[in-house]
This record gives sequence, C-alpha cells and structure tokens, in this order.
Amino acid sequence: MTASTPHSQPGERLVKLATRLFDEPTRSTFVLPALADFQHELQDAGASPLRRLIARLRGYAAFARLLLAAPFIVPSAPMGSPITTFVTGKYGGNVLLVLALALFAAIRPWFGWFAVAVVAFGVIVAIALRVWHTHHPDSRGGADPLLSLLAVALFAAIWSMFGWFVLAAVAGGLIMAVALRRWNTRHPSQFAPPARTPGAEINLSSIPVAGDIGGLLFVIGAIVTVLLGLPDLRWFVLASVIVGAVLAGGLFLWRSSRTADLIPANSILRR
Amino acid sequence: MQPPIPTLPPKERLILDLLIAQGPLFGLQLVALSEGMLKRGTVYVTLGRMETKGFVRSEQEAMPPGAIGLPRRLYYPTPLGERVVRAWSVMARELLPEMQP
Repeated sequence: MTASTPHSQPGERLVKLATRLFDEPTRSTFVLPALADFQHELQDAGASPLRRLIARLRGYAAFARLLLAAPFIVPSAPMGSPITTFVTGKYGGNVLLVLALALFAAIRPWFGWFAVAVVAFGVIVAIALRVWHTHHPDSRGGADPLLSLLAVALFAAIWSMFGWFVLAAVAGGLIMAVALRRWNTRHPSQFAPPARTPGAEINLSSIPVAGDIGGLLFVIGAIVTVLLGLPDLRWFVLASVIVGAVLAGGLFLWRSSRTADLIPANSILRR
Repeated sequence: MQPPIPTLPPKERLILDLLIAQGPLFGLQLVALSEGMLKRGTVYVTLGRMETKGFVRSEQEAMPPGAIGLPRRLYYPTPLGERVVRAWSVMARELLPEMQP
C-alpha cells in the first residue's frame, strides 16, 4: 500500500494548483479524474521507491500536458478561475489599470500636471460610475451620455496638441461604431453569457466585442491608430500582424481538427 | 437546417471500441489498453469531449469506508455512442469495401 497519510496525499498540491488555474467544470471533468488516477497508480506502485518515482514522474508529466492543452482545447477553461480573475479583474480591469498607470507614468514628463489631473479626474469618474451602477443595477448603459460627454471634453482638451489626428480618430471611431452597430443588428450574437457575469471583454455601447466581427474591427482600428500615430513602427507592426495572423490561423486549424464541437458558434471565421 | 452529423475521430472510436468490448473503464485503464494510441495527459480531455457529445457517460467510483485519495471517474458507453460506432462501421464498409472495420 501507499506510504502516504491522509494529511499528505500525493497530488494535493496539484489539486490546489488546478483550483487556481481552472474553472469548476474543467476541474471536475479533466483535472480531478487525472489526479485520482495518478493517486491510485501511486498506491498500486506499492512500497518500491523506484516504481513510485516512475509513477510520480509519469503523473507529473501527464498533468503538465493537461495544463498546457486544456486552455487551447477548452477555451473557457481558465475563465472564472481565481488566477484569471486576479489578473483581469471581474471586468477585465486589473490589467487595464496597470497599463493605464504605466502609460501615465510614461507620458508624465511631457504632459506634467495635466497627466496627474487626468488620473485624478478618471478615478473620480470611475468611483462615481461604480456608485451609480451599484444603485441602479438594472439600467445598463444609462451612463453612456456621461461617457460621451467626457470623450468630447477629452478630445477638445487634446485638440491643440494633436491637431488633425484627433479629428481623424473621432471620424474613425464613429465609422467603426456605426459598422459595429450595423453588423450586430444584422448578425445578432448566438453567444449568451450568463446574466450579471460579464467576461473579460471590451464593451462599446453595450455591444460585446470579443472573438467576433467586433473584435476584428477593433483590432483593425487599433492597428490603423498605431500606424497613424507612430509611422516609424510601420514595419514592426506589419511583421507583428503577419506573425499574429499565422499564429491565429495555426491555432484555428489545430482547434478545428480537434475540437470542432467546442468552438463558439460566433467566431469570426465561422461567420 | 439539419443538426450536424456527429463526427467520430479515430481516438474517440478507439475509446468507444474499448468501452464496448471491455465494459466500464477508468481513464488510465483506457490508456493502458490502447497500446500507446491514447496518452494519459490528453485522454481526459478526449473523454470530456465525448461526454459533451453524448458518446460516453461517467460516474465517480464508490469509495469504500476509510479509503483515501480522490475518487476515480468510471466511463461507460452510451446507446448513442454504440449507435455511432455501428453507423461509422457501416459507412467505412461502404466507402472502403476492403477495409475491415
């Protein structure tokens, strides 16, 4: 029998790790059965140190493969797990917050107190929006006019610094918004996220922008914005786009050949 | 629009063949019986996908009193899974007469 005690079951740490990495369905369907078989294999190995070592190594290797494969085979596997929630926040905010702070720290020498004022004002608006949504949980999108007003104020404030680029950004944003609205009206999403549990995705005027045509338009808009603002990086951006497209195509082909039934119906290429 | 016809990749067919021939099995038993065709790191993902498609069902083993460790998951073929294997065999015979399904 095994030398383990009820307090030191082999695989207990792996169970804790899986609890942090994956959502409950993935854990109960893939991870825990693998660890249960791992524990029983160790018990079957008896007291022989060599056989137990071999069983451990094989079990750890299998678990590592499972960790690597699960997010690709089951795209939703990491969603809702504690580590994903920690990194992205419930609304995808933590990473954006870090990026925003880094951005403001980087532009501080050029914009001086203007950057500090923007941060302070943004924090106040964020708190106000949070309080407002807490008191009006059912009126989704009710604060959109306020955000539109803030956007107009921002564009007006930076007009003198960026000139026609601001106008181009506003025009591009309007075109993208109209295109998104028209597309979503004609192709309503088949993806039904659970109520009150929004995922880590961008949301423009209540239009979910994820792995669909909205995401594609957003990416194209971001690339065009970078090219307009930083023309010196055009070859770097072009190379990044090519590498990203090749990687995405490879992943799509790989997943199509293995998990056709698990790919969401509203992916870009399937539409 | 008609619902899509269920697909049966080679590994899923192998699992169904083993479950139909041997009866309910654990994941590692499937790996051992597959003679290298199934890998222990991915067999549970394949089984989970088959469960989603309705080809297999699973239940946790009953743990005896005082037993330690996690309960293992035992996999059974479903009637749909058995029908899919039969249909796939018929199709293979029709398409490749020389093939022995």
